[in-house]
Amino acid sequence: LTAESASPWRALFDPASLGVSIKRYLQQRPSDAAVLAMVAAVAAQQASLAEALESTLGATPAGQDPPAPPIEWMHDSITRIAQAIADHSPRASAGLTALGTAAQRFAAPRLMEAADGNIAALEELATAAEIPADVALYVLQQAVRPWLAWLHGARALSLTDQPFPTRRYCPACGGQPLMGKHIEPDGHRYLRCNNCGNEWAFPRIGCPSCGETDASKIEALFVDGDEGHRIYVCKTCMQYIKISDERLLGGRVHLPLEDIVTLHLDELGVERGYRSVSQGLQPPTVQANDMSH
Amino acid sequence: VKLSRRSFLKLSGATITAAALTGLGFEVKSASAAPLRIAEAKETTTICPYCGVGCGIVCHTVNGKVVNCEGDPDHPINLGSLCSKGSALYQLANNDRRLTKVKYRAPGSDRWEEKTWDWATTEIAKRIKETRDESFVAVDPSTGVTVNRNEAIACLGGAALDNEEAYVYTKFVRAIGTIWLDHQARI
Repeated sequence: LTAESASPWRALFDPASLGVSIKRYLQQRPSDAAVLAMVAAVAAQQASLAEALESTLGATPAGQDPPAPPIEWMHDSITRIAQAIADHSPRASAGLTALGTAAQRFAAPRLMEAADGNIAALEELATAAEIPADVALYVLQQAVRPWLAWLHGARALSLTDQPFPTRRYCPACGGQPLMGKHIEPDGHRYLRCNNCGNEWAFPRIGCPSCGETDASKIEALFVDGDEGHRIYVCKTCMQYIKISDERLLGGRVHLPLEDIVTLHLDELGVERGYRSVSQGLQPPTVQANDMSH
Repeated sequence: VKLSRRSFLKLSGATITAAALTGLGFEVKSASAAPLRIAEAKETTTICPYCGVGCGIVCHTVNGKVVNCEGDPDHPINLGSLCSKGSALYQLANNDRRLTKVKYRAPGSDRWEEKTWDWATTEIAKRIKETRDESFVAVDPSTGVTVNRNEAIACLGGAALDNEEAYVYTKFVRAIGTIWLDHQARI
């Protein structure tokens, strides 16, 4: 899959760019080989599922009410993602491979609710498959990602190159940022939506949660010797965002993968009393009320 | 698999991934298991001091010491780019050849002497006063017009002075009658 051969929104699942990142991490951190293989297998399934969506439903919709995902596609997606995760996990339960079958008893909107964190829907599905709720949620979130990217892809593309430097929420779907990156060559900051995967520009000196712009309130923490991965903590709203710096990491990064290889930074942030911006944003601060979009 | 509101909140956001990976048997790298040395950096914006373009810079400091300088990608003038001199700005703060004390070479002398800031500011004020008093022209002799000017001192503003600094500087040099006031960017 390349940018030339597919719709631009499908580049979000481009295995080629992910492959570069995985190769780099395999050299740097061979002990992470198992989790990297799992991420690659999930991404390959997502790329194929994205292609199937486009061939069934056509181009990504623009300005319409969101239709529900086709139920067959949804069940297929959950089955394939669960199987890819089970195939590469050291301790996958039998229930994981049966998740697709269990999901067939649920309608698409109910599955979307579970993926969105509806506790009752999630419990129902996890109980049916006899797997932990957090594993079920992880599989569902990976399974619906191609759908969300397809759904919001047109709007995300129409916003490309438009100046939204202070958007705290995803300008395409209104989702919260998962994490961010500083791109080559000049260090512009982009945030990635935890929902649809869209990426948008955001100021370097500024908290994506509350919009604080006072540099003295924001601090960067990193493990000595690994400055390419940092968390920026905001002392005003006590939230943090993780950042991967492409200039220091040797090229393009794939943020869902970066999120996994930097889980120790989440732990560091939580230990110091901060919450991730992916867990919800704070109201804008008075000083930065221009960030109140 | 019963979830309480509390346990769900614990699972939400970034921690879903960690909890799920642990549940699947992956070893999740821990920040506390193997104590890691954590550095804390501040990023502060500033303006390049070298020329009149006024490029934006992001300065990284750790424990108050400058560790890196880079172009500010959000600055409307340079959008993150810097010239070769601005790119080397880090060396302005970290340079063993940087002068940190007042050095004075007396007229005709062949060596530098170390002086205090108090001595230097007092000496500069004294010499400005002397020169100004010696060369002050209250009335132009050829026209008889009152001019109150000091013809023996020229002043040069720095390219990196901002509006307010340039204003104060101009007020000061005009107050001592200086008429030769120019700007470094014109050199």
